[in-house]
Amino acid sequence: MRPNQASILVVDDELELLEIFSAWLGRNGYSVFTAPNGAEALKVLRTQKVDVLLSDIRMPVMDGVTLVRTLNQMETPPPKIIFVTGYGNFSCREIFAMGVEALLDKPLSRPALIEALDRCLMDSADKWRTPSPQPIAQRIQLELEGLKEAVAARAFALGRGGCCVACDLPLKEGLPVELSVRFVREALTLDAQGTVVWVDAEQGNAGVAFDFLQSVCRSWVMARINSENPRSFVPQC
Amino acid sequence: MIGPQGLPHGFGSLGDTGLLRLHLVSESLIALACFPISIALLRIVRSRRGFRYNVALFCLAASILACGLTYGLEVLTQWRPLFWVSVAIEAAAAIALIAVLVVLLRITPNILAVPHKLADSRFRELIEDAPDAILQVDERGTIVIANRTAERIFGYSRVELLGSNVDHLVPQPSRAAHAQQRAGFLRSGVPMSMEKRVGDLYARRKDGTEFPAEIGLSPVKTEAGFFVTAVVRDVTDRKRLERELQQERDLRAQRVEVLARLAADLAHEIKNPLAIIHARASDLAELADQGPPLPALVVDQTCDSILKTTERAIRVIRGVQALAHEGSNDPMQPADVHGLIDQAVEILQTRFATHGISLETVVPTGLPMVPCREVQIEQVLVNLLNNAFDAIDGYPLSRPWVQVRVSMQPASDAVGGAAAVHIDVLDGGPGVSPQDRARLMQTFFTTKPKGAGMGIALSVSRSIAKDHGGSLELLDSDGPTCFRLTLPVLARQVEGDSA
Repeated sequence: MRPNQASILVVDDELELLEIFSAWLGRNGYSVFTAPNGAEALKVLRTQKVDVLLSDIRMPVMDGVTLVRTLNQMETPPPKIIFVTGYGNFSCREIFAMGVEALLDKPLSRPALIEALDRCLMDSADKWRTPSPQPIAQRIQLELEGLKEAVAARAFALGRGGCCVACDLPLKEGLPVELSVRFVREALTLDAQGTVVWVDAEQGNAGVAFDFLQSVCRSWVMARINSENPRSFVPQC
Repeated sequence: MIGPQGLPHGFGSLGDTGLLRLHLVSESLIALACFPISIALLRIVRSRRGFRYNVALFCLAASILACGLTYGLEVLTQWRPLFWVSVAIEAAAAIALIAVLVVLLRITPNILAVPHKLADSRFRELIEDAPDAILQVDERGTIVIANRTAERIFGYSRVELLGSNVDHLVPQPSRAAHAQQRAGFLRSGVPMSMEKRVGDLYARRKDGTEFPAEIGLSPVKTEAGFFVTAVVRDVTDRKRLERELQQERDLRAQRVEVLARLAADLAHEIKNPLAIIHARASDLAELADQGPPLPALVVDQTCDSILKTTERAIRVIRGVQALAHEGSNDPMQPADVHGLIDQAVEILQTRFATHGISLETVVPTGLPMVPCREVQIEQVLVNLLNNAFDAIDGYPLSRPWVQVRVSMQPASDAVGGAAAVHIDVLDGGPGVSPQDRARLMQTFFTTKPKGAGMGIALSVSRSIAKDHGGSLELLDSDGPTCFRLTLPVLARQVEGDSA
């Protein structure tokens, strides 16, 4: 789908921001719907086809987290979701595991918003085709017996947009990393570039969103995603 | 006079009555002295179970008894020839004496090994005045050694302690278990240090009171059997200090929690206006990049929005600055209730308005002044309003209104007799469930979703109210949720009013 044909639902209780975001998106050719809270957003989603849900977290009547949980329980597949928030009291881990694809901090610029939306609307395979221009800050290397065993041992998990890996390295959120996970049984190595989206030092694992995948493993990852259809974007191990 | 058993003994001294008399008196006295001596020895053996030389003492008591009997029979045989009986008892006495000899030979090295009397007494003093109670009990749990500290700690005299069962020093409910544990400990024979014990142990004094104790146990194996040395430390003072330290820590945690919540709220309250200002300014900059002329109306509207939003952010920060002033060391000063409530409402007005929750105040005129630390009471009011907000926000079934209602409590109705002001905070939220009511004021209890609050603010608020001689309670009613802050008014002022 061409980005500017997409429809976006913006949800925020700050009415002036709702107006600003609508103007920005409208200028880029998106069709825009708005709602002041989660409950109103549900009403819009019932009647309109929405490609991306752009929502605040802390809102009256129904907050963003409750809205996404409600959507996840419905039969129809939910739209792609981006959170835009100024509130700091939430867990990134749970938010990405719920299926949210990006977490943007307020205040945010128009180019940043448009870039996040465009990337969100891209096909996963296309998104992962070009290597990231950012210099790699950390290399994560792992050798696992097999995918099934690794998942059972909570050493690895795959989501729609990234993975969770057991990792003792000192990682930080937002860090660009290179990932090399070798599955001995499958005789396959997952070679990827990604961004750390959460770190759990206590459990010794981290969540990494993929930015680029080597062509061999890209088709393998796509096949797994298509067959398992995970709800989470970056899962918890 | 001569029978088949032979002549009575008395015949030997016939004719000399003086000799016979002296003989009879001295032999009778020996016999009479022997019996009490042996009885005294046997009593010692009985009451000092576990004494390492009890076997020797017992043999000695038996031999002295036997000797006493032989002397008694010496007297009898002056008249009656009971020689077989006499000889039999003499034989028994001989055996008993030989037994004493054997035992004595065996224990002599041990006796010699006992420290010199001076060292022994110094050693005993060391134990006597140890900071902890020291007890030694035998396999049956009978106390055989107790030091002076044990007398002081447990309130029993040494005479009462020695010979009694150690289980009496354990509180009644755990006595049976203690007896079992004692048996288990004897079987295992592994020393138990004070530090290794888990859970709280209690010991019982003579007057029935209990005290927290640390107990260390070590088994002692002797010729006389197994003994257990117990060192008991009264830790009442330490436990009190620990409690005080914990309270101090809780208080600090409360402050951190209040701060953390404030920081998250502040981030939200400030980042939203910042997002608007940022967006407006960047839009204007983009417009300027396209070159002149700039449409005056757009510039005007944009600047207006930026200015208004900036003011909003400043108001939020001012409110927080007032809150950050902790105020616990401020002097109590008379304050106007009206002003207190207006300030609290001012801080939160925008938050309520942007979330569509109405915030109404009903304050009668002519209220007396309330002596208080203004910043602290402000903190309580803001906290109550925040709670009311949270009770409504996020619950679709709640009605979006909050009311602050003030009323006077006349002097006669009040518990202490003084007049007071009630500040009620009511909300249209779903209410507090009966099971939550009881625990609501407890530290760390919260009904909010995980991450929203750690449940400290309400208990802090209540302690602030108590500091002011007032109270904070959740009113018991079928109507809307109502938290009541009661603050006593200036006594003099009320008297002046009524006069």
